[in-house]
Amino acid sequence: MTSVLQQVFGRGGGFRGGIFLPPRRETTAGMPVQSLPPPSFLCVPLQYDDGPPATPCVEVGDRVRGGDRIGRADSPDAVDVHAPLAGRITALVRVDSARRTDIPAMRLEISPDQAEQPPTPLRVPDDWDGPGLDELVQAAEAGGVTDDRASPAGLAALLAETHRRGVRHVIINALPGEPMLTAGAVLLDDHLDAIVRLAGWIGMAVGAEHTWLAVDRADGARLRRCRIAARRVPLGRTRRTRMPAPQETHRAAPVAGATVRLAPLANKYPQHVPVVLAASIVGVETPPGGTTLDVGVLVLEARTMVDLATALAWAGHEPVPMTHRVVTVTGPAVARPGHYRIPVGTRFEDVLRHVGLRQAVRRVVDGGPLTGRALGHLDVVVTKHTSGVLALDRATDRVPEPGPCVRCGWCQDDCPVGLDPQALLDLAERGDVTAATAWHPRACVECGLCSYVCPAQLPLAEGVARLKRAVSCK
Amino acid sequence: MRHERTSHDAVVSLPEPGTLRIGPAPHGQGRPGLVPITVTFTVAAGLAAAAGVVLFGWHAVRVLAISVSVALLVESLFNAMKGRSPSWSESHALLIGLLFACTLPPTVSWRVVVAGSFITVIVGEALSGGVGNYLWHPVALGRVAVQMLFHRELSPEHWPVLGPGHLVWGNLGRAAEMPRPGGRSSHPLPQDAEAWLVSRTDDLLRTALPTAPGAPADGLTAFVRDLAPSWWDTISGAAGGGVGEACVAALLVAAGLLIWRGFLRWPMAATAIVVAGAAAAVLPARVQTPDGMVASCTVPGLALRDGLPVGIAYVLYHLTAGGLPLVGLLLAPDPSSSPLTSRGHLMFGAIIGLLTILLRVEAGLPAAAYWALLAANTLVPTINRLTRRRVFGT
Repeated sequence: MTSVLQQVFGRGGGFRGGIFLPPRRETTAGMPVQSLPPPSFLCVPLQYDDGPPATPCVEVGDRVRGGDRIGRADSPDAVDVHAPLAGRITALVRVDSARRTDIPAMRLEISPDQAEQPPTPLRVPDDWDGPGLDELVQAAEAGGVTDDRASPAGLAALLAETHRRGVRHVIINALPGEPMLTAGAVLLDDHLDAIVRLAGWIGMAVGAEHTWLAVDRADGARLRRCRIAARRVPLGRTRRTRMPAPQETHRAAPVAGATVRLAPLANKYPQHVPVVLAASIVGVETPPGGTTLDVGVLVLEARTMVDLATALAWAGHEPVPMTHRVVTVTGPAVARPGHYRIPVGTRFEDVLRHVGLRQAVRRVVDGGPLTGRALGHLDVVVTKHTSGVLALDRATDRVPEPGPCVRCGWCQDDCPVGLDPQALLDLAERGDVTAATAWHPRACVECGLCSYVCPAQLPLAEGVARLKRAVSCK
Repeated sequence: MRHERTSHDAVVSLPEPGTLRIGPAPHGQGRPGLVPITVTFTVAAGLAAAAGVVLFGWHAVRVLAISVSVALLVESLFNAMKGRSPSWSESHALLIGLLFACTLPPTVSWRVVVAGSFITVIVGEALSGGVGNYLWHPVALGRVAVQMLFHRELSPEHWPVLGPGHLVWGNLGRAAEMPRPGGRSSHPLPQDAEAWLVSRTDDLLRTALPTAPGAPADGLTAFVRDLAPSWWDTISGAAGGGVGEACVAALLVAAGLLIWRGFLRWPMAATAIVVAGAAAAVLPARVQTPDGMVASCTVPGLALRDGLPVGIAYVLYHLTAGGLPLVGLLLAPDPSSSPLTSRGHLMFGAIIGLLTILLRVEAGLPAAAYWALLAANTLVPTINRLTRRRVFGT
C-alpha cells in the first residue's frame, strides 16, 4: 500500500523523475561482515577502472606480506596496488574484471598457513583533531584508496583536484542505493562515528562550506543514529550545540566545513547518484559530460570513508591499505548469502564456491540488479569496484524479449536528468553520433532506470551508454 | 531432534563454462511488460463492458461479441497477409475491439459494429503503423467514422436501458417510454415492458435546453429538476448511453485499477475533469425563452435558484454525460496516442476536457468526447515538443 501511495503522490522528493522501487525484504539486510577464507591464489589487478595500470614493483618469485605494495602508481590517475595476503608472486598475468577485459594482474600464491585476518575495528580517538589535507591525500595515495562513483576514481587525485578547484559542498552518500546491495548499510552501521568524523575532516581539508551526510529519510532508526553521530563530532563544531563550553570555544572556534549536517532524502531511485545528490541537496545541475566538481560539489561514498579511515595512521592504529572489499553476495541461487570481506583479486569462482549454490546458476552479476554487469565466465576477479555478486537462478533471471516501442514515455518521464532514452536508442541503432550530440547523451548517469521501466524491455540504458561513450570519444 | 535443512548446503556445482547468460541490466527485475499492460487495460475495459451487460442484457453481449470477433479476425488476417506470426498484437486487437464496442449504443445494428470494428483495426491501427506509431486512438477514429457513416442509427432520440427487476436477462426490445422526461428508473415499469426508453443527458446538454418563464438561469433549474436523470441513475448507468459509457461507477473502478498499476497518470484524468468542469461552468449555456427564441445563460456554473446551486449540478451532469468518462479514463491513457511526459499528459487532459465541452455546448456535436480525443491526439507531437524535458545542466 505504501508503494501505491508513493507511486500516486510521491513524485518530487528532491528531483524530477526517478521512481520508488517496490519495497522488498532483503535477505542480507543487517547481516554481519564475514571474512572469506583465503583462496589458493589471487590475481590482483594492477589497473583500476579506466585509469592507466600501475607499474609492478616486485619481481616474479618474490615473497610478499599482506599489505605490501606490489604496484606503484606512476601517473596521477593510477592507484597503488597492495598484496591483500601474504604469499609469493608467481606470474604476471592478464585477467578480466567486470568492467574491463584483459587487464594486467599479478598472480599471488597464498601461503597456506595464513591465519584469517580479522578486520581492524575502527575507533578514532575522541581527542584527535583529525588529519589535514596533506595527511588525507598521503594516506589515500599510500593506501590505494578509491571511490566507486567518483572521477578520477583514485581518492588521492580526487582530493588534490578538489582542493585545487575548490568546492562549497561535500556530500557523503549513505543512501541504500540499488536494491539487493546491503553492504553499504552494514558498513554505515558498523563505522558510523568514523564515517561522520572523517566526513567533517574532509570537508574542512578541502575548504568546503557545508558537509552533508545524505541518508534515507524513511529509515527512522538509522536516521536517528546518524543524527546522534553527527552531534557527537567533538570540539564544539556541531551546529546543534547551543552553548559550547567556554574552554571548547577557546580550543577551536567553529570552523566552516567541520559541521556535518544530515540531508534526509526520499530513497527514490536513483537518488544516490552524485549528479542527482548535488541537485537535490545543493540545487545545482551538473553539465553533461562533467562531474559534480564542475559545480563545486564533492560527492563521496560513505564506504570510502571507512577505507580512508583504515588507511590513516593515528595513535594506536597502523595504516592498512585498501586490499579487501566488503561485497554483498546474494541472489536466489546463493546458499549462504551475506556480506563478505573479499581480498581484491579473488576470482568469482572462488567466491561462489565458498558461499555455495542451492540452485543451478543462470546469471552471475557484478554489481546491482539495475546497473550491474552479467559475467560470461567466472574467471573474472573482484576489484576495488565490486559492490555486489548476484547469482540468479533460472526462475528469477528475466530474459528480455524486446517488443515494439509503444511510446509510453516512461523512460523520458523517469529519467533523473531529463534525457529521452528512446530517441537516443534510435540514434544509437542508426549510429548517428553527430545528431546525437544535440540530445546530450553525456548527461546520462547510467542508473539503468530507463531499461528497468521500459515495458517493451528495450536495452535503453545500454544504447544511451554506448552513445555516451561515442560522443565522449568524438 | 531437529533436522538441519539440507537445501542450504552447497549441493549444486558451479555452472559449466558457456552456460551463463549475459545481457544488459536489469537483471532479474523490471516493471510489467507489454502483455501485462494490455491485460490490465483489457480487464479495465472488461469492467465497463460487464456493467453494460448488466444494464443492457444480451443486446450488449451481441455488440461486444461481434466487435471483438471482427477485430480479432481482421487482425489475424492482416498479420497473415503481412506474413507475421500470431503475436502480442492480437491481444491488443482484442482490447480495441472491446473498447470500440463500449462506445456503441446497445441496440445498434450488426452492420455498424462490423464496419466500425473493421475501420478501427485496419485504418486506426494496422494501416497507421501499428501499436506505437498510430497518431489517433483507433477506437476514437472508428467511433467518429461510424458516427458520420451511420449518423441516424448512432443518434437515436431515446436510448433503452433495462428496468429494475429485468437487469441482465431482460429484453431491450420491449421498452416503454418514461412517463415524463427526467423520470427515475426506479418507477414501476408498465405491464409487458422490460426496459425504459430514456433521453441521454449528453443529448439534452448539447441541444438547447427548455426553460420556464423568467431568467435564463431558470432553464438550468428546469433541466436539473425536470429533464436530467437522478444522480444515482447517472452514476449507475440507468440514465442510458453506450455499452461501456453508461456506468460511470464501473469506469471509475476501472480507472482506479489503471492508476494502481501505474498505467493512468492520475493528474491527466484530474485535469481533464477539472478543465471540463471549468469549461462547463464558464461557457454560456443555451436555453429557450418562452417565445421560442434561444437565449444564453452566462457563467452557468454560478447559477443559483432559491439558494440551491443548480449551476454546480449542471456542471456535474456535463462531467458524467456522454463519452467523457470513457474517453478521459479509459481511452486517453492509451500509451501510444498520448504524450510522453507527465507534463504533456496534463496538457493532453486539459485539451480533452476543454474541447469536449466546447464541442458539446457550442457546436452541439454528437460524440463530442471522441472528436475531442482525436483533436488532442493530433496535437500530441506538438505537446511532446513543448514539454520535452530539459537535460540537466543545459
